[in-house]
Amino acid sequence: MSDQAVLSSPALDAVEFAVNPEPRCACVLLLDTSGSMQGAAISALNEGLRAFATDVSADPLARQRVEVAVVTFGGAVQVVNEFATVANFTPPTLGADGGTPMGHAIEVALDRLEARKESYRANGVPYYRPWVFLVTDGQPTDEWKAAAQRVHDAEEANGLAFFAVGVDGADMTTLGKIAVRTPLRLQGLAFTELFLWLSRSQRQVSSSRPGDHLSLPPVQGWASI
Amino acid sequence: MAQWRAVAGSVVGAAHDRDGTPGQDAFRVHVLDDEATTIVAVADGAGSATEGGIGAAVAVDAAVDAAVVAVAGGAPPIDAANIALDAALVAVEGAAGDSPLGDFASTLAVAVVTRSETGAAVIGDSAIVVSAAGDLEVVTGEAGEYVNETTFLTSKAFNAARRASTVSGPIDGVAVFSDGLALLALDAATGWPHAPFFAPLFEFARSAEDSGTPDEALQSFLASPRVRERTDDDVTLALVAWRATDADG
Repeated sequence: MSDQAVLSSPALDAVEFAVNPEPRCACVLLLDTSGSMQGAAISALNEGLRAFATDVSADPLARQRVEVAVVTFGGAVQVVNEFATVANFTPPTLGADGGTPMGHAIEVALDRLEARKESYRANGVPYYRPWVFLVTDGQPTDEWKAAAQRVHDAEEANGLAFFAVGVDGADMTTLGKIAVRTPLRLQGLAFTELFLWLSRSQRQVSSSRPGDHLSLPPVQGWASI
Repeated sequence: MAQWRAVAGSVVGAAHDRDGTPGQDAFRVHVLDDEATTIVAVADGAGSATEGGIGAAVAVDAAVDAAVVAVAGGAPPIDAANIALDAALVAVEGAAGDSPLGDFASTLAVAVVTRSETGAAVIGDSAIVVSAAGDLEVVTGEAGEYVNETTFLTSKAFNAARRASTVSGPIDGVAVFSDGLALLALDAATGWPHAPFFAPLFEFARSAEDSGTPDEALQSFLASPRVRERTDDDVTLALVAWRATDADG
């Protein structure tokens, strides 16, 4: 049995929430690891993940509140990291291979998110609106319309915030059909800037109080619409 | 003669210390002249509402004034508490004038406390815990799904999300507090009050020499690491306790 299977058991969730009863801010990183990401792109993505972990960790409140899960889609869909607070998060080093089963990956991410919310409620842990953060350089090679519908329904119900980022070569038109919010295009391989932005945003969300109007940091450093 | 003792404290959260912004909680405690009734109001101004602190201050003042008049006119505690909420909204609307009402967003909890019953009315995530014959009951506004969302006095959904109830006596004590204290005071899973948290606080209020609002010892407790390490929000707590004298056993 792997460490991750142990950590995902409900009993140990209860222990984790008893030890750290801080409100949780769940964030699923939904990352394209298909063959086209090989080389410089996957290296830059891995570096971005490390920058994210380091930057959130520097914030004593956010590292206890922001929970990250990593789901990749390259050939197959893989849950590389189950939900863990950033304090307990080891950024993975991802490889790239295979097709782009984005539709299935979105469904897996949404399933995990719903299960996580259920666990929060069962353990009486307050939580913030979760984020799903999709990064891709291609287009789905599987059926994606049902997944897109789920994203739209969940946004409509205020159940999550779904962000999509296209790396050079991404099918921005399809991304625009999946995400309700306008997808952003990554400038070059500015993954580190992208993940620092995500860190700053999550730090802001995880310290927000009722009535706060969240104004996310500007995306100019890494994105164009 | 038996009487109510009231103590209250309010501490600005670390988040405000960091930002250099003022705290946005407000409270007011009023023991009526005949000492039969005590009225407590606590309001928590919305984080980024520019005038949330003013909204909270206006709300507690208007709420207590309105409840005093209602009680004097013979209104039962629950009616007085509900009237207080309505009056607070009217007062905040007046304070806002031509500015957006949302800039003055605030929660509000009002308790009208008598020995025989307590009327509690709440909008938002502030809360009221009533100790009646040793049992604790909690009244709080309708909660949203997310921890950084609540319904304010100034929200369109005010009337749908407000909550009010009567707790029958004999009333031993009442605690009214802003959501900064909820993590400590209420069980997160069930929402029920933590008895071990409240018992010593009510005992402390009961044994207070004089009513103190703010009370120095309570201020120190709210500023202590035990409280501060659980929240970076403003924390306000008002306590009312019945002190029976020898004459009434």
